Parts: sequence; structure tokens; C-alpha cells
Amino acid sequence: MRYLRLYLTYAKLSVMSKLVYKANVIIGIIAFLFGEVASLVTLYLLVSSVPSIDGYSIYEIGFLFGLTNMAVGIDHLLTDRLWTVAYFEVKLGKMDHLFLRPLPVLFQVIASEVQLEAFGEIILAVAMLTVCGLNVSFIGGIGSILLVVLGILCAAVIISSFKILVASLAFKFKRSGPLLQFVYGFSGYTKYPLKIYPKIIQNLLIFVIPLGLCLFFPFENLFSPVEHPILLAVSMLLATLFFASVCGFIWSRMIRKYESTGT
Amino acid sequence: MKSIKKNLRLYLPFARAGMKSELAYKAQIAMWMIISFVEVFFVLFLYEAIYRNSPGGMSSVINGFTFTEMVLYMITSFMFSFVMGSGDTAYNIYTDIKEGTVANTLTKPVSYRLRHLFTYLGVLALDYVVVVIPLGTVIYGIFIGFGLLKVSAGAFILNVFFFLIFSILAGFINDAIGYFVGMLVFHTDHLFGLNMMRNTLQSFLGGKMIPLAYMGALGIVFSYTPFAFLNSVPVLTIMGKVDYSTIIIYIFIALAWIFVIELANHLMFKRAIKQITVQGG
Amino acid sequence: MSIISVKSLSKTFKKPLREEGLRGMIKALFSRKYEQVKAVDSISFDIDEGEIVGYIGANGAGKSTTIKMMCGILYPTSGEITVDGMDFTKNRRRINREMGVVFGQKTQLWWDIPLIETFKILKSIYEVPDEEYEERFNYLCDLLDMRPFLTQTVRSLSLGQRMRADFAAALIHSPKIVYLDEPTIGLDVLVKDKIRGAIKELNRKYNTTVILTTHDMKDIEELCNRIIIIDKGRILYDGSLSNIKYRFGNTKTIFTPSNVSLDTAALSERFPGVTVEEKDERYAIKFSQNEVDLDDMLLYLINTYHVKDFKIEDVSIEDITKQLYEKH
Repeated sequence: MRYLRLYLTYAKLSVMSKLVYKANVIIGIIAFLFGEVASLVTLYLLVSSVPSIDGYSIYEIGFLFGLTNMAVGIDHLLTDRLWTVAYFEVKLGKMDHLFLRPLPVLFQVIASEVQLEAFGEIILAVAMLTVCGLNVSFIGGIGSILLVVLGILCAAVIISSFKILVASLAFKFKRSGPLLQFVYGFSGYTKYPLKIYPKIIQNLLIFVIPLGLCLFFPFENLFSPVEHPILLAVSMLLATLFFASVCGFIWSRMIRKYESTGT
Repeated sequence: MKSIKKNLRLYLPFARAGMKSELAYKAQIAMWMIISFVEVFFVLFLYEAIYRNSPGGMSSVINGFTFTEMVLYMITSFMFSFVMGSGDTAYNIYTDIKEGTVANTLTKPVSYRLRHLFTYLGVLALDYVVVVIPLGTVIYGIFIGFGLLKVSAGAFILNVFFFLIFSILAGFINDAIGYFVGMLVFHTDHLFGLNMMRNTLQSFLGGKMIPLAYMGALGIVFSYTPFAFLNSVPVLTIMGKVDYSTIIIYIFIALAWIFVIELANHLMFKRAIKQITVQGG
Repeated sequence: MSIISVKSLSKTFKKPLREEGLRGMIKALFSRKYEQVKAVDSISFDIDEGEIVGYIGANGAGKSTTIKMMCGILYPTSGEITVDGMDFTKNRRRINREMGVVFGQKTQLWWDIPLIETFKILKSIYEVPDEEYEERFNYLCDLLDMRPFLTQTVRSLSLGQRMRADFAAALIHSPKIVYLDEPTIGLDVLVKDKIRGAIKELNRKYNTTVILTTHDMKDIEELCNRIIIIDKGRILYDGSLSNIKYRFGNTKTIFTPSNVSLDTAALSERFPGVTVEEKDERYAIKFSQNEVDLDDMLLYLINTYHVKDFKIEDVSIEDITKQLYEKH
């Protein structure tokens, strides 16, 4: 409760700071919206050149695109400061004051930045989910929709955890920005049906980085309901929790290597 | 003639500095480039799914590309776009503005525009020696050696020749666009957002995300934009997918774009200087 | 009863060894050799509640590293730090509640928003009760004269205003211990006095323990009852200021313009042990107060040469450190 209240206070200050430079916020939102629209048009052009991809219609693929984009957008909105940690803050020793507060360092890193530019992605995701959602025929009921919502949230947590993991390597190697850029790029590949990838990549996305599990399985469940949706929900939650704890643990070890150089 | 020689002596040190700064990162960047090829594999899985699902199966020709050609196109695109992404003039101008050194550079007998151009050309030259030429030789050696790309020796040499010409033109266009973005930084300091839009335009209109041929009539229009010269045109040229009369037309269009963008740059710089001299930079 | 206890504390940094040229760069990708740099080498001391301690050393002596370990920013390589009976590995957040920190070079205020907002968020972070906050906030506002710029954004404040605000921000939760790293650097005399006054007042009124690093001798003379001098990661001296000044000759230097035709021979005959240097169009007359009385010297100069223009300089921390180091 205390942390929630504190989070809101931090977030309010971050938004206030951002709004001092309104033009930048608008440029940022447009830039992200623009980038996502381009990748959407690419997807459309590709998929529309064939009747269907492994049995998925263009609307179904569009819906999956929306799901991934929503998770990516939520992560972007809430944890954007990890990028500056990975690129600059550790290297330049700019995190000193975070170690002085009676709060976890990670909490402060996350709470102190609300990235409004993420609305570029979120707006498009909402549009995609609405337009494509109206054009596909779901079989599952309200439960399967809740499962999808849970999946989006879990996926956002997984992406954030992965960013935390990679950003924390900066404490050891001084800079992990390029590596973060590289691995972050892969969250984009869950925009496509898991089945197009070879088995090994499918397994990687289900068992190691459970993004595929949390996005693709609930998506499939909308069309061909699984026997035990509760079991799916529990395994999604457990996988996410496990993944997040591992990343969090590594972060907590890595911050001990902070050197505060640059003074 | 004499003045060209003199100018070269004035600006070559900037090119050398560009090479050196690129060299400082090159070892790391080369590693990232190799890893980036993993990304190509992901894209290729998607294309594989497209070909597999088309009525003609894996042997179909979609929008003028066989699957093998598509693989070659994507690999070449990634390599070329990677090179076009380095040596950032926009960022250098951003730093000049942030550190307030623009005004200082105006007092020197060196053109601000040419200084940045030569720095970038140095970077580009190094990229070609370290990345494009060795890697391109390996990739095309494999494709031609295994008969995946069928082309006669004479035709291929001609393709490579035009590819190099387009590479130089692409270098000039890329730097002109970078400088243009740099000029925009005088009006907004959100370089990250500007660069992101530029990259989107570059990879979409340049046919890096998907060949322009997939876009129908619009694709033909796009192939005349400056961004097409930063990927699509040179890549299709070395693959031998552009006929010679079109190549000649493209060369003239590229030159026209360089002229137009540099004119815009010139005007914007003049405006920016007025701003600096009024407000102090 | 000591509030801070430092026992054989060490910090070693790994510095990558770089080889020149492209070959070196490529080699560095695969294997990297490191050099171990001992920034702090097995130091120990105790600080009692209510002490004001000056922690002194040249740049790179290891003083920032020690302070940063004592604040919990850096994790020690070995040794231990106990603050109020707690240690950082288990109780970092509880210790953080007991301390306030000001780094002269880095601000901890929220940059783009009005100053008052920083105080409000600090109130929630440290869970300061409403009443206590009101009292403390008003007290600090008056003490540091902050009311005129409370609603301004931090980026628009002058350095002096920002420093005062940073100082108040470090104290809003009534910490038992305050760390000040170069608190008066770059400030004008008036602000310096204000900050020093505030430190003294807090120490007197609330028995706050203060640990400060500084290059400004006046900070130390006015505030510290104890100094710790560190060099190359080891403690060279731990004790009172007057004691060390006495040990190192208690040197004073008087500067006079060189147009007073000073008779160096007569001067050294009258005051044995005095050295005179002529530099930058002035004389530097250097002597030990253990041997020569300052008043005598001044009277002599005024009466004999009618000197009207004086500048008197105390021994600098750099000098003492240098001498200390040479002795070891």
C-alpha cells in the first residue's frame, strides 16, 4: 500500500517533468506510433500476399499483433528508465542518490519514469485489438478473454524483467545498452504466430522466456479452448513469477558492483 | 584544380578522424553486427511461412522474388542498412548544439557542412573496408558458388560497379539527411524521436522491412524517394534485378536529391545561424 | 558510544588493462586482463554521536570512496561498517533513514519541477509525520532562507540557492548523521557562511553527527573538532586540528607587495627560521607560529617598512598532507 502511494507520487512528478517539454512528448508519441504503423503495414503486405498463414486469417494475425503491442506498450510506459541505466547512468555514476533512499533501488528506477511516448504503441494496440477483434469469430467466453488480459500483463512483466536482467549487467560491464537493444528486438517476434518458427525457438519462447506461453496460448485459446483454462492461467502466472524472481535476484546481486565513477 | 587540392588537404584530417572514431567502436560493432544476423533469421522464418503458404509452395515467385532471392535480398539489406546506420552526423550536430560549440566552429575557416561530410565519409570508407567488402565477398561467393544466384561473370562485375556507384551516392544522401535532421535539432532537442522517425522512413521506404515490390504502384513511387537509395536501389542493383537504363535514370535522380536536400540544408543552416547570433549559442 | 564504526574497510576496483590498436581491441573482446586498484586499504575508525569530523585528502586519495561506502552507495570489498548498530548488508533501508547526504557536485532535487514538490515527495519517502514535517520544514526554510524560491523550478535556481535547497532536502527527515561532500564548493562567501552556520546550529541543537569532506580550510577550522586525513587509501592522521597544526609547525605565510624594499638579511636575523620568497611581484614570508609570534611579526613589518597591504595565509590541507606523507 505504502509502495503504491509512493509510486503514484513518483509517477506524478515524472509526468509533471515530462509535460514541461510538451513538444518532445508529442514528437515521441508520433515517432512510436509511426514506427508501429510501418511494421503493421509490412505485416499486412506480407500476409495479404498469401491466402492465410498456417491457417491464420489476416485479422487473427492482426489481433495477435495488437496483443504483443499492448504488452510492449505497457512495459515501455512503466520501465523506460532501464534504458538510460543500461546506456549511461551506471557508466557515468549517476545513480548515487538512489542508493541513499530507504527504498529499493529498482523501485526508484521504475517509479521515477513514466514514459508517455509509449502511448504511440498503446493507441495502435487498442485500435488493432478493436478492429481485428470485431472481425474474428471467438469461441471462448468471458473466461478466455480474462485469460488474454492476464497474458498481456504477464507478458509485460516478462519483458520488463528481461530488461531488468540485461540492464543489471551494466553494473558489471559498465554499459549494456547495445545488448539490451539486441534482446529487446526479439519481443517483436512474438507478434507472429509461434508455429511459424522451428521447434527449438518455440520451446525457447515457452519454457525459457515464457513470452510465447503468455501471449500465444491465450490467443489460441480464443479459437480452440483448452481443456483446463485454470491450469493454463496458473502455469502462466508461475512461469512469469519464476522468470521475474530470477531477474530480480540477479539485479540485486549486480547492484553491489556499482562503482559510482564519473565524479 | 589547385583549390580542390587545397580543400582536400583542409578536410582530409576530418575524414581520418571519422575513421579513427569508427575504428574505436568497430570491434564491438562488428560483434553486434554478427549477432544482428540472428535477427535476419527470424525475418526469414516469416518469409518461409509466406512461401510455404502460397499456392505454388516453396518454389513460387512472389512479387518477382523466388525464396532464394528473398533470402539474399534480406541478408544484403541488413548488411547495407547496418552500414547506413553508423557515423551519425545528426548526433554530432546535436552534441555541437548541446555543448554550445556551433558558434565556435563558425569562426574557423572550415565549412561546417563539409567538416561533417568528410567526417562521415571517413566513417563510411572504413565501414566498406572492414564490413561491406569482406562480408559481401563471402555472401556473394557462397550464393554464386553454389549456383543460388545465376549470373555471368561480366554481368556481375558490372553490377558490382554500379553497386559501388550507388554506395557513394547513398553515402552522400545519408549524410545529407543526417545533416537535415541535425538542422531540425535547432528547433527541438528531441533527437531520439527525430531519429526514430528517420529510421522508420529509411527502413520502410528503403525496402528493408519488406521489398518495395510488395507495395504495388506505391512501391514504384517509393523507389524514387531518397530513402530507396539507402537500401532498395543498391541492393537490387547488386542482385542484378535492375536493368541498365533504369540504373542510369536512378543515378540522375540520386544526384537531383542530393542537390535538393543540400539546398534545404543550406537554407536551414542560414536560418539557424541567425538564431545563434541573435540569442548566442 | 560510537554511532559509526568502521573496521578494516577496503575497496578494490578492477581496472581493465587496454592494449593499443585494433588487435588489442579485438583481444579485449574475448579476454580482458585487469589491474587491481586499492582505493581504500584497510581503514578503521569510530565516530561518536554529536561529533563533527572533517574527512580530508587529496583528489584520488580514497576519501570519496570511503564516504560512499559509509553511505551505502558502494559495496565494500572487505571489512565492515556499522551504523547505529546496524550493517548495510541487512539493513540498508533502515540505515538510510538515519542519514542525510549532500554531494556538492550532484543535486538530488527533482530538476524540472518546483522545489516544494521535492520536499513533499521526500516527506512520503521518509514517512515524516505531518506535524514533525511542518515544524522541520519551517525551521529549515528560516535557517537557510529558502522561502523566496520555494515555488521556482530547480533548474532555474542559482548555485547558491540550489545548494541551500539540497542541504535542506538532506535534513528534512531529521537524520542522526549527515554526510557532506564538498558542501561549500563554488559558493560565494555569504552562502558559505549561511551553510556553515546551519551545520553548527544543527549540531548544537539536535546533536547531529556530521562528516564532511572539503578542500576549504575555513570549513574545517570553523566546524570540525576532529579531522581524519587519508592518502593512498590509508589513514595518515586521526585527531584534532590544532594538534596537527602544531605538529607541522603551525605555519603562516604573510604576503606583502614587493615595492616595500624588504631587507631579507635583517629580517632573518630578527626572526630566525623565517623564509622569504619573491614571486609574482610580492614577498611571501613564511614562518612557524611555534617559533615566531604573528603579532610580533606584523608589528615589525608595519613599523620598519610601513607595510599597509597584507595577506595572511594559513597552512593548507594540501601542505599538511604533503608533509605528512613525506614523513611516513
